[in-house]
Amino acid sequence: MDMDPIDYDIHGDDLQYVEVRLAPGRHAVSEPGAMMYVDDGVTVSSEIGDGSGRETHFLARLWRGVRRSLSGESLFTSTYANDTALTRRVAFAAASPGQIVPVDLAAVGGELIVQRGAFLAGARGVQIGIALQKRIRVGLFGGEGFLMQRLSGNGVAFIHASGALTEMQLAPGESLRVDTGCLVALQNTVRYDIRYVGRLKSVLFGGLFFAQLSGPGTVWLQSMPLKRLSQTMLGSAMAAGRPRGVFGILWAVAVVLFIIAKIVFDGGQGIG
Amino acid sequence: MNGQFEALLHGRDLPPAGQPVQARFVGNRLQIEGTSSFGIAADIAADQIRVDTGGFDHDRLYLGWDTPTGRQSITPIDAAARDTLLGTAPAALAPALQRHVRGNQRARTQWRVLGGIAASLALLLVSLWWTYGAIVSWAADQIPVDVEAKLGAATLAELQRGGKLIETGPAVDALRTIGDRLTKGSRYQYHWALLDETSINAFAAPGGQVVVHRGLIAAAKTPEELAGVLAHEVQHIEQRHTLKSMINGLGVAALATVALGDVSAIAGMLAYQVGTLSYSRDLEAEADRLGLVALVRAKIRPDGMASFFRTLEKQAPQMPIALLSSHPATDARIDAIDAGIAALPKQDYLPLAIDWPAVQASVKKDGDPKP
Repeated sequence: MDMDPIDYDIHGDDLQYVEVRLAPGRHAVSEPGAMMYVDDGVTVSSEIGDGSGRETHFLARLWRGVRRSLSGESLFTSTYANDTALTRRVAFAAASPGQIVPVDLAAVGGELIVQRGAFLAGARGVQIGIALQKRIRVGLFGGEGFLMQRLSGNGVAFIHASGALTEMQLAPGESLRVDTGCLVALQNTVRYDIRYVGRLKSVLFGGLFFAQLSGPGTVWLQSMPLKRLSQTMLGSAMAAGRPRGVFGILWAVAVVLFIIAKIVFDGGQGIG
Repeated sequence: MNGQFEALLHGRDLPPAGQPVQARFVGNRLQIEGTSSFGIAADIAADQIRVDTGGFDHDRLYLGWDTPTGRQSITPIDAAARDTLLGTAPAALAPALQRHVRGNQRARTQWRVLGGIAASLALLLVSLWWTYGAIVSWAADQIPVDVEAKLGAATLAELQRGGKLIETGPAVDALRTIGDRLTKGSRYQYHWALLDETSINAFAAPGGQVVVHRGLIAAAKTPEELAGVLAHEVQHIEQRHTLKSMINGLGVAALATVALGDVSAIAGMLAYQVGTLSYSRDLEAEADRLGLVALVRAKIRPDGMASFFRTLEKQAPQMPIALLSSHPATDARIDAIDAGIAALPKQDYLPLAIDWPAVQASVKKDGDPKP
């Protein structure tokens, strides 16, 4: 399979874009709409499917496209071909505050599982498929749903997520508990499971579940899931306008009830 | 058959994708050899090995052991290597490997069971949808006739309390004359009444209560037109359309109340909405069709039904026609009635011996809107 090696630079701190330099005859692929700028002489085209150029039959490409769209991407892929004799540039920008991380798929065993919509761009030949979550519990409570993206191939793929992105390598048997929703990508060798928090206090004041990631393999985590960011922003937008309303009251009642229950069950020894 | 299999070695300071190695079981020990470019040799006793299930799909087999620099593990590189591993592993590892294999099967079974449940639910819904009409009819048939009669009597009592019910006079006699011919041999005891309302409407309550607004008598040009409306309403009773609509709309709880004999609550509700109670399009079409049959059987000219709806349609702008809202007189419906009439065999009809102008005069009151 032809994998185009690509040369790139990532610019910006929290609002990043990646500039890819295409050698003559090289290609890059991206989500439609991810392109920021492109040099003259680069042919931009959109096609149904993943742009890998392997299937020529329309239905086969359409099927690939449908699978892509199920995994949170577009039915179409934009391809950028450098038809000139010089090195040309094309840049892809992230759609939300966060970081772009290049992952060489060859270095992670040719396959990477990523959050829906996390794929930004890549070398030609990177294929995007569906990673179906086969564990029902994990699909329901893992924060990533039943469908993730499976990136395969040997080239470089750029993945993007909001907040700061960090990469961690887990040794065999080593495991890490992660807030659901903070998981961006994982190697397919990593076991992804769900742990119930199991303590009433934690349930009331935190979340119900953790994602448990067990090695061997590499995982990528994001510091600010979009859900959390939008909740914060929605919360402050509401607070600016009017009082917190019925949910605020309900929450206050719930907290008071909890404290009363705590006092009763602890035999009045104070709030522990 | 030397029991050698390819595997990926994972550990701290090794590549994230794993280091390809050759592995084999020799007696109770696992021996690992690196490739020429990566010299490694390890020899681990079976009782040091821990079997783990991992990977994104929870289907990878890991054999792990501790080294001074941290834990290391191998995983077979493909299905063939996994089979070799399972086939050559010493007995000490057998229980743990069995657990791994069974765990994988369990996950698959879970999905199969879930799929099976979803499929049978879908099948159930489809078959319910197919047989829905039959189920409703069956449920309606479970309600005995005397419960229906009670329901109807209670509804009538509610209407009488309203003070607008007229139960004697030439118009009521005319209703009875036509109605008796239409309902000959019925299992229901019919009761005919007039309601002091100028809107054009008629309705039927279960058990044989037929109520006609006096506005409808004024609007009908011939007794045959009135007969057409009555034939239609009678079919709502004969085919138990009210019960079927109740089953459709009010649900099992209301039906249970009726079946248990407590009809007062339902009757109150029915009396309140009986004028506006609308039946489904299918039930209306059935009442039209069977109404025509009943007219023919009673030897009453059936074209009154179509001509009355046509009159209604024409007069709609000037008259308060409640009948239209509960019995939409669409062109399609009139066409269907016409087609039904055309399909009837030719036969002789007996004229209705009713002095129609006198009946109409008897329901007129001062101050009625002029038609």
